[in-house]
Amino acid sequence: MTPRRKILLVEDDPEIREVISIFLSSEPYEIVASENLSAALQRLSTMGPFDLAILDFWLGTEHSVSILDTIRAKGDNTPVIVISGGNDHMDLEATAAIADISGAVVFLQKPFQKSTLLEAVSSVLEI
Amino acid sequence: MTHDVDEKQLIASIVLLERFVRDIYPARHSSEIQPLQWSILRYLDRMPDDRCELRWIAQFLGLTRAPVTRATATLEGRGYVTHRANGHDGRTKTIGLTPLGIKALSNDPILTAVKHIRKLPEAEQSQFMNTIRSIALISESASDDTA
Repeated sequence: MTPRRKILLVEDDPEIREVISIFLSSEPYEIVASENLSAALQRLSTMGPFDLAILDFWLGTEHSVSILDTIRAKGDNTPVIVISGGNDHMDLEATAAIADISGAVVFLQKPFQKSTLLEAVSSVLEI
Repeated sequence: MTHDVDEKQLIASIVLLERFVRDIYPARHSSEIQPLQWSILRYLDRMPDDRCELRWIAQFLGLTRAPVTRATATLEGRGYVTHRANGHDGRTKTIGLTPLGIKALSNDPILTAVKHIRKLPEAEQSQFMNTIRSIALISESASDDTA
């Protein structure tokens, strides 16, 4: 039996977090959801390792770059998908560039369909 | 507040950065691919087909549809992109790269800049990327302060 892949999901919007969790639950994934930076960092240290992290770039006024940096600083090769709908001060081209520099393997522009997310996840997990 | 780094030196470094970026676009006449058009070609190259619609490109670039429509029309007129049926939504069309568009991307001016940066020692390459990233994030915070 194939072990369930463990995914860290960090998304501050409760509705989007719920929808993404529902999208992913149609596949054999174990989802560990976090709503903010500190909860995500805490889950990374206590509930890892993860097979994949899906990070919303903007978490309120904070950004998730420090989560990416924490993952890389641990020498952890957990692949990261960054998702974002942008904000008023930074367009998505710049957001995607920052995600690329920070080591994200995929950048998804919100909103996206279930099939787009699942395709990205399975390509990253090489399923 | 005192600064260890001289203002004049900081300005000088930005002058060099600006020249560095300007110099990678040697040809400025209108028949050349313009910076916005390059951004569109890069977008089409990295995004899945169902995302290659005008509305998504405009959202990604932080622009209204009008300039993206004009730039795309120019690219289409020169044979770099083409409109095609959207496999996910029959009511819309997506934009795709043509073989000429794919070939053009192999001469993307940004790759020239990358070649220059690659000549730096690896530690300096990382330092460069981290510094640029920090500047981008600080600029965003600065925008927040003035909003």
